[in-house]
Amino acid sequence: MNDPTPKNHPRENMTFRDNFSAVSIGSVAALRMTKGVEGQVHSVFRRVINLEIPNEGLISLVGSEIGRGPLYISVEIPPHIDFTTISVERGDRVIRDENLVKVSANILDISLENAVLWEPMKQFSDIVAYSDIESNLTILLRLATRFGNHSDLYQLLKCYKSFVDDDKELTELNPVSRMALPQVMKLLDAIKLGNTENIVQSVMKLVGLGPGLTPAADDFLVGLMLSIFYMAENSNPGKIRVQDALNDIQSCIHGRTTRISEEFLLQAAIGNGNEIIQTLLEALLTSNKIDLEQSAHKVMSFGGTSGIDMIIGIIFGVNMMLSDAYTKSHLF
Amino acid sequence: MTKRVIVKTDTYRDSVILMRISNSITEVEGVQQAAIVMATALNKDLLENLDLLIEDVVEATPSDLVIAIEAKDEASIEVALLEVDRLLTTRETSEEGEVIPKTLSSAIRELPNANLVMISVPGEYASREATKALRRGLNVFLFSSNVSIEDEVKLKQLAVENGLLMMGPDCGTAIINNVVLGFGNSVRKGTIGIVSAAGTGLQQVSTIIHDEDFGISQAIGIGGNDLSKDVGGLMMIEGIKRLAEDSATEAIVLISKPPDKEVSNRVLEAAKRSNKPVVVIFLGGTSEEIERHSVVSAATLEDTSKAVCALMKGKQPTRTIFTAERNEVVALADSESKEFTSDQQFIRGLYTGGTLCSEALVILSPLLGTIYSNSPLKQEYNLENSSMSKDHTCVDMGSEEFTVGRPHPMIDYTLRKQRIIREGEDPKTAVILLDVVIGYGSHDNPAGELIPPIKEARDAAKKEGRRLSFVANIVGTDLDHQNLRKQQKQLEEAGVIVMPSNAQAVRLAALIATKGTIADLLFEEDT
Repeated sequence: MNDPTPKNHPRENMTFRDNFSAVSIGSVAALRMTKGVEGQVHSVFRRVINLEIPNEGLISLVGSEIGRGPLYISVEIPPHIDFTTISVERGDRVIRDENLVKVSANILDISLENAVLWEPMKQFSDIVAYSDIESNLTILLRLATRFGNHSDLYQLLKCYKSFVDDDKELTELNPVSRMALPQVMKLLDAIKLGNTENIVQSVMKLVGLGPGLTPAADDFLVGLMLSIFYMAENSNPGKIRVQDALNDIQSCIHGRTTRISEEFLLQAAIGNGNEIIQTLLEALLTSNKIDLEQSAHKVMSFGGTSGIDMIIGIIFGVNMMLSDAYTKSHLF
Repeated sequence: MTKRVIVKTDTYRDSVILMRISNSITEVEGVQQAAIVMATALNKDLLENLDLLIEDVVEATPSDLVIAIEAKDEASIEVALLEVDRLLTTRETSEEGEVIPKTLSSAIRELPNANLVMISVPGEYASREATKALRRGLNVFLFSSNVSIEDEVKLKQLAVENGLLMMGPDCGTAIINNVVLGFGNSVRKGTIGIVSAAGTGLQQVSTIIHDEDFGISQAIGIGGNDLSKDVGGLMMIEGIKRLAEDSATEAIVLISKPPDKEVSNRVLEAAKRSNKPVVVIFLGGTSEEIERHSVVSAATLEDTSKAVCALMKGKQPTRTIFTAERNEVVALADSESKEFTSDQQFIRGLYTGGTLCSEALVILSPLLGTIYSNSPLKQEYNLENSSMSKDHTCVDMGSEEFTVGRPHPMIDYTLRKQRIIREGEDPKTAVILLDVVIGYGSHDNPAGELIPPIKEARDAAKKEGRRLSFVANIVGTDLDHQNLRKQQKQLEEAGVIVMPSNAQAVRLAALIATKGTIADLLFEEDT
């Protein structure tokens, strides 16, 4: 049988681009990826492509199952599609051409035509009493203790109280927790006291520490920062000057960790977290009908251990804010 | 103890992969400790604390990946590093190292001169990908199922408008220019063309044609719904047209279940217009309508194959009941059934090929009456639970209820093995009937999979004073990589009777189950 394709078929003249539609665009991504902007592919993963926009920062093209975030352009991609197989490479050119994000020459187009703007919600309604927040936090601690033991920072949960009292037991910790725990203790005390110098010193000993593309301690800090931000915005805070603390932390992030993690840290320092974290914090702080366990599991399944590390940070952050504002708090 | 530290510059892998690498390495025998971290300042301190810091790491930046391993010896390190390399590879490759594209566009970029695309993606997206392919001038082999009839019609209309082939959806088998697509067998290149709405039907016919020393020009699969009223035989007719125009095709075979009446008429008219010898099997249908269109009708897949070969030799087609002599077959059945208990009377057909299962039902029904199935000839004979046989039963284990979340039973024998043992436990089971499909896509050693449960079932039955009979047909050729002769020998040594075709295996099973009482009925057409 001869080649059945008609000879005059224009196949030879076609370029073969993959094209998908974005369903949402995060507020920061929208600001960075304006019309005419050019950038480069920073990194390519199975369902994520990170783009570096000069003078702006990173944004990410993500499969819609990952959810929404301030840096995300969330794209409707069939589940069998793997970005690592479509020849997009680090360093490839990216350009926003009207409502199209064109990635690599002739390879990938993302349409923004139907993308809905997504902005993190920073203030919630129906905030519950401190005692309820504490109850919720206890549930979160229980979940993290039960499901988080694959994280290198897991031991922080089990050992926090005892190591306040006895430094010698530090040697029983894994290497990452052993390095992190004293700095975490120092950081929390420094935040409570508004001690900029100690905040900076301890953060410099945490940013970039641990395994993962976003190192474990960075994810912890993301959770910590978002939790204290949301507590300050939503509940009646005590004496902690949260904004000053966040500014101090932000000042010592640059250049100390991976590009991707740096971006997440900087966003967390201004209260910009992904939707799954926002939902978890809403479940913690409000009486809005959100299933706390379900939202915690969603966060825990994020990345390798990133989610659980963020939750550990949230637990420490919320506990610190509660113990400052609510004298009955005794989580640890 | 020995250490190795490797820095991979500018290397980003997501944390799930890094965690997987870390877990994997620490499980390698001999590895004492391992660290897989990005080269941030603090991680360098961490490595120093672990005594795993080297000069290269000192120079590395946070965008570099550090893999540090301490193990009891170099051999352990090497094993660990092989594992690292394997897991760091981002692009899924075949065993031959070829990249497996996941989108049509990336596939075209890999192979720009291709004129055919094989699509196997979740059903929800299959139609979209196939449409894109057709619009780009590519012929399509669509393995995916769960495509709506409406979409199938649109796809086939688009294909016909553009002079393209749209094989599928739910097409498991084709042979185009001697290249097997999907499941299929290595067959001789020849002058007989096939258009088939039945995957294992195509396989049985093509392999018997090969055994008869003929060969296949093209075998076009069209998917099981093509001859329905809605689809109207679009691809069957297109396939007939192609083979009619193909100078390398001298005779044509059409394979399907009985089509809609109007569709049947259009298909048969197209066959007649081909001006080439055509043999048609509408499995389970009648021959009169077919023969009115001056084409040859056959009742079984074996007869279809032999009929077209006979026509190629300028001879009249004949029917085959058994290739062996009657007395030989009857003696064999007697020998198999003489130790049956009075309860043992039923056939349990456990099929991986849907068409082969259908053929079994078509042959057995007039001989034995009611045959239950999960794809029965009549709805009233539908099994309530496909996993539980009732009386005479033939099960298509390739159907959806057995394959959700699992590989096809031609690849993964797990469920069939379990079923063999279960059927053997039933004191009423007399014969277990099996198809053994070899070739591309199929298990590398089906006999090796089947023999242990067959032995187990036999031994268990023997303890209870019963004898189980096993009858099988191997669908394959001497060119298939599983080594047909070796497969046959292994099965025969395990006491399985291997017959030359599914039709003969089914008839023998009926003869054995009835302890030879239907011999006259069975052979009456042969006298």
